[in-house]
Amino acid sequence: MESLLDIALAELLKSRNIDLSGYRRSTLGRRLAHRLRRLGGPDHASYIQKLRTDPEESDRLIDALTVNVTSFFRDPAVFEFLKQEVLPSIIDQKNNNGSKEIRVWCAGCSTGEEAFSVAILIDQILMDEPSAWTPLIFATDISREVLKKAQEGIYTRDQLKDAKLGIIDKYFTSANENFAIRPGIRGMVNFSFDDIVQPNRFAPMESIFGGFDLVLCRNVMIYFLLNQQRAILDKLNRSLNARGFLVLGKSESIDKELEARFETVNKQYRIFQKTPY
Amino acid sequence: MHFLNRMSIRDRLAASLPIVLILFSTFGLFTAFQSSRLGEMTQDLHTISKDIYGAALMAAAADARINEAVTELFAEQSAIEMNATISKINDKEDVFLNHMKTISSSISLKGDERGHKLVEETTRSFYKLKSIRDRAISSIEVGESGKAAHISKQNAAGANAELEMNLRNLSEYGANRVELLSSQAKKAQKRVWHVMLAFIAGFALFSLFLLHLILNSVMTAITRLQQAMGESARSGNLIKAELVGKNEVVEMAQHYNELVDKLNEQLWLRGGLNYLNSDLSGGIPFQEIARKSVSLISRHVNACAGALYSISSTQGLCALCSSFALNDNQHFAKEFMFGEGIVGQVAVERRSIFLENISSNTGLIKSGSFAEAPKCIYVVPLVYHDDLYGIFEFAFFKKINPAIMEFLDSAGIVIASFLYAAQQRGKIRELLNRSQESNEQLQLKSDELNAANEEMAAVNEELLAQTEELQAQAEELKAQTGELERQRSRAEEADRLKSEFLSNMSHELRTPLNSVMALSQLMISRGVGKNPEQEQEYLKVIERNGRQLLTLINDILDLSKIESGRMDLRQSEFDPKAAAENAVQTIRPMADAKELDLDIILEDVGSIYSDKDKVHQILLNLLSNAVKFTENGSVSLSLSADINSILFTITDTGIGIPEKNLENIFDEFRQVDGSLTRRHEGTGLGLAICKRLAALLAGNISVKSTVGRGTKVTLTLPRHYKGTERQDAPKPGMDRTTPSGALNENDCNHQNYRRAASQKAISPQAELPGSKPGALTPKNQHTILLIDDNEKDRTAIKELFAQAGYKTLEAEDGEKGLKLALDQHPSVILLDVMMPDMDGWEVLSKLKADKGVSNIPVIIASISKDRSTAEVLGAVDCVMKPINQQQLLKKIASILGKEKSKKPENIGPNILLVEDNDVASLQIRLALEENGYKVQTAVNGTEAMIQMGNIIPDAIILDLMMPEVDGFQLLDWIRATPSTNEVPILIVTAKELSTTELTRLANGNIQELAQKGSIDREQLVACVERMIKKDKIPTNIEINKTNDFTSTTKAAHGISNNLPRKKECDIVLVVEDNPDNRFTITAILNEIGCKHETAVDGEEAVAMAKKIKPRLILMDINLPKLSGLDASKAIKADPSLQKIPIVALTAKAMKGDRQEIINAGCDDYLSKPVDPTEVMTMVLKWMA
Repeated sequence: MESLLDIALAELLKSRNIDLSGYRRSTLGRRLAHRLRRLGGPDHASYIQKLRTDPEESDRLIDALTVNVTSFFRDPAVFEFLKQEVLPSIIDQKNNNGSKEIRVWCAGCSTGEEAFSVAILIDQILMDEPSAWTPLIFATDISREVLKKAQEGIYTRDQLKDAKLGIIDKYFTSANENFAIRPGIRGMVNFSFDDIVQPNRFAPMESIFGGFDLVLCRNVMIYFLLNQQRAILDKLNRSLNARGFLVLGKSESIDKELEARFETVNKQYRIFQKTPY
Repeated sequence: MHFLNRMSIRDRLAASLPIVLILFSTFGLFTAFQSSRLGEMTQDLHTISKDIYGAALMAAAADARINEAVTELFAEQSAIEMNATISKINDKEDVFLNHMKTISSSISLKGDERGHKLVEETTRSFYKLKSIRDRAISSIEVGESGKAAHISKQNAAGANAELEMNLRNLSEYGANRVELLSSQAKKAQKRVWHVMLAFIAGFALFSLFLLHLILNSVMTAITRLQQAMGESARSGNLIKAELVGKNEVVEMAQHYNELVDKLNEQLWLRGGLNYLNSDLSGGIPFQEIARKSVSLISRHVNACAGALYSISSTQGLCALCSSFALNDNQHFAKEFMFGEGIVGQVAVERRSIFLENISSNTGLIKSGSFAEAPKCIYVVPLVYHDDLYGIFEFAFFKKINPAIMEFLDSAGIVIASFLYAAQQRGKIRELLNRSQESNEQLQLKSDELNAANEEMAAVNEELLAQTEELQAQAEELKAQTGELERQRSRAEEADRLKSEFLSNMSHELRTPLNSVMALSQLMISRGVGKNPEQEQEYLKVIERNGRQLLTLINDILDLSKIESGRMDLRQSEFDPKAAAENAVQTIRPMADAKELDLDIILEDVGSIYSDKDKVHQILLNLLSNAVKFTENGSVSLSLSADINSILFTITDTGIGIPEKNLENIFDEFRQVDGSLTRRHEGTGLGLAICKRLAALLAGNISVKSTVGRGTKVTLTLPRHYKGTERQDAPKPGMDRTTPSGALNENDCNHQNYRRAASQKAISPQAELPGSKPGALTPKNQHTILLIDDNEKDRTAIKELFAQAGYKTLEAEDGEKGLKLALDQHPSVILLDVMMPDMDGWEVLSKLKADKGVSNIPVIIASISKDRSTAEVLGAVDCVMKPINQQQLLKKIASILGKEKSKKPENIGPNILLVEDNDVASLQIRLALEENGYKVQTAVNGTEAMIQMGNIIPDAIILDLMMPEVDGFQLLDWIRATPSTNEVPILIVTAKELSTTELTRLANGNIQELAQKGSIDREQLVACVERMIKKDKIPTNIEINKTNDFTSTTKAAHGISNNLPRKKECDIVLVVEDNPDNRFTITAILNEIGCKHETAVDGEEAVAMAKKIKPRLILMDINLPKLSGLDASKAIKADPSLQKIPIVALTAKAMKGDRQEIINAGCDDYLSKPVDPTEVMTMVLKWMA
């Protein structure tokens, strides 16, 4: 399995320029095994053959190797804090410097729930003067499969279990048994492919430049090895504007080496703010 | 003096006061005595002078009187007178003698001899004279006057003289006596004065002396005391006052001295305690305190020996802990049990014990030179907070004073507290040690724990990750289940569709076959030649249905060919205009028959390379559909094109298609009405074939429709069909409009445009615009936004604009108009004033208020002359309604001309941003505009070229990856065009550039290169700023432009279904929607002479049944409005009708259909195609 994993990772690096070597091998190993089971347990050689010849398998494998657990307003308290404290603070900053562009990056957006949740929060906050603002939410993921789903913006009831009823009424239309995000919110979020460990960029391509007011990178780093985690934090820090906020997952923290570059806004919710230079 | 000191000050004062008083009294008495003497002397003086001198004088006077009387007596004769004179002489003699007595008594008081002698002589003299006189008197009396006279003369003279001389002596003596007394008084007065002076002086001196003595004695003592106290106060050393004697001051001094003693004792005690305190403080350990304290205290109190016993409360034992000068011998116990000995007793009682007058020969205190037993012992318990910490014992050679005891007691408390503290410290230290130990152990444990925690955290994270994975897997599973479910339902749907298709196909095949077979059988059974006219009619029906059957079969074949990919295509270059015209001509008779306008708006769009027949077939199909579903109004076909696509748009004013059916209309055998209720004829395969054919030709058919208002079907075909490459057929519903059914043409066109454009870009035949600009020049140079609620007006003007070569955007109200203006940024806006909701003025002010569109010239169209209002609100011009078309065109041309000649107003550098990604474009634009740049955007290379044709930008920001003409190609074009070859270019790309690409960019002379996602906003602006500093060469480039237009004409058409009928009883009701079948059935019924009525749909059937109460109903199942089954149910549900037998006629021959029919309440059924005899039998059977 180990050698298969190495070969598969090398193949992904070659074919998709995606470097998963910074991921925890235990996670990857399990996920790869899972993928193989899904395929009916082919022998390693034939799987490698399939990976090399079937471009779609690369995407499927990436999708399988990466973990995509998300739901709307996952950990609602965090979102409440974003709504009550962080976003108003960002808007204050903007009002002070005259900019009307709110830039958000959801790194590791999976199927888009988190990005749309933020979009909904922003929509709620800016309800009074929506036209005056240009919210730009960039949501990125390494898996093109999940991005496809994100772009569709159709969710099951289950994924909306943390969303308030009013929100569902206001921001979703029912599509058969599922819920489709309304086009207004759908249009606020820009989904694109991005490999968070890609060293050449510190911000997603779609966003052109960094300068994010808010970056959410929740439950992404837990899959990475420590060095890689540091590299990611470094990138996230660079992508933030001078007083931008960073939200991590509930079991993630700022590594000691980078502690000086972030101030803790709320320890419990893992919300940090970039230390101004 | 010494004696004075023995007297109290009070006594002294008390003593001196009587002395002074006595002295003072003596002096007073003395003075009084002297005064009294002086007074006496004065009295004497006065009395003597008065008595002696006066009496002498008085005696002399009396003597004189006597002499006179005697003389008289001599003279007097009468006896009486003589007697009176003799008594007078006797009285005088008594007076004389009284005076003599007075003098004598006065003199006798003083005892003066001389006076007495004088008085005696006088008296004798008097008596001598008297005796003479008495003889003389007695002689007279006897009458012997002469004798008398003789006697008197002889004796009296001498006696008288003597008496007179004595009397003079006596008065002289009296006088002398006063003088003497006076001098005596003076003398006495003088003496008294001297004595008084001397006394005063002496008293004063004595008093002074006494005062001095007392003061001196008091002050000396007080001063000494004062000095002693002052010295004490000054020096701080308590000095005693040395005073002897017994008085208040001495007492005071003694008290003071006592006080000093006590204070000294206290000081000594305090000093000792302080000494102890200072010497024993500083955290000295217990043993050290024990040792030091015994020694210190012993020294302080001059004890000859000292010992400290420590207490073990648990054992009830006092053990010697430390000692001072103690001999180690057997007499000295080292341990005492509680209650044992003095030490033990003290331990129990916790009270000090003092023992004195010890006489012992043991337990001697020894020194090198002597050994002696102590005189007294003092044993002190060391108690602190009710706890005993030890026992002190001290031995002394001499008796100790209470101060020492007090000191020892106090010291006991102090030492106890120290011992307590030391003990506590010991405990604390022990605890500390213990806690340190346990801390160390804890640290060890903690380290282990940390390590374990780390592991745990790792495991936890791993677990979390696993949980997430599990959750992900669960979600995947759910998704899979969902997917499976969807697949299953898709499969079911497919299965259902398949059986439905089969069922429908069988129905469709059977329907015409029904007529063919039934009529031909009828003719066979009847024989021919009987009724040639009727037979002619029958044959026509047979022939028509046969042909329809053929068409149907052909269609099915077509469909299956397309489906299986065996449809052959014969591409050729042809004129789409001709194809369109051809199709319209074919359909025109059909339209004419329905009195529908059939319009055709054809523009020269160049040629198309495709399959002409298939295009024709699609158009024919679409047109015939449009005509079929339009009852009145018009059907129009318009032809338009953009760069790579030809668009055929068929618009009708027919019934429209409900939104929910839009996605199904391309399915086989689908008509909008649904699966069973059908109003319109047709194989139901037409649209399905069209759709597939269009897809085969790499094109697409999109439908927009609003129920009741019409349908617009657009066939989009690529200009150049390139073999087998298949376009991704858009998903059904993808082109669906918004739920309201409003048309959103731009969206769709844009998509098609983009798709076609990208296709062109990768096509080998695609020509680079740079090399041959004409080929790709866009035709929509100017777009005019038309905001008018009146559709007719809009259509008219749109046509006008189309003819004039403008592209028209339409909005039926202000809101949509504003949105379109914002989205599309038209060149000119033609704005109607009179509109519901938001009138033209409001729209105008909103347009002018929005910076994004305020610069778009607006022409106001109004029925009144509102020019001034319009101009005030910012309209550029005004036209009167009804509109003079030529005038309007002129105005627009002039406005556009002006616009074109206008230079950009913004002062900031003009940046052309070529970026296909809207969000990226927006961000860069915002960033640059914030910094004062004017940014024009182009979404692809072609658009960029057009923009550069109008204005040469100061700089270009170029994305590399774009559809159609990519960044590299555009770069080549820019550099190849003289007017732009100097414009600085910033490449912003997400592409990982290869060396070749980099070289190509370098050759293209780009100024800056920025990688998306690795540049700051500020850096980007800085890049632009840097490159803009370079000079630019502003020249204009001319690009040929031709105009394109899109126009839609709307017409209305419809179908009438009204059929006449007659009322009769006992008749058969034939319900059949297919006219040929209806004809066939009625022909059969006519054959058996059966009266009949017809209904064409379910609803009519129910109504007719109620109306005519037929004997029998022949019910077709596939009916529009209400299916035969539902109609049957309705009829059977009506009590008045339920007895009417219903025979179902159905082309549905599938399994289960029969049961369904019976369930619906039908009494019997006939399968199509029907056998006439069967029909006859059935009718007769149920009519009987």
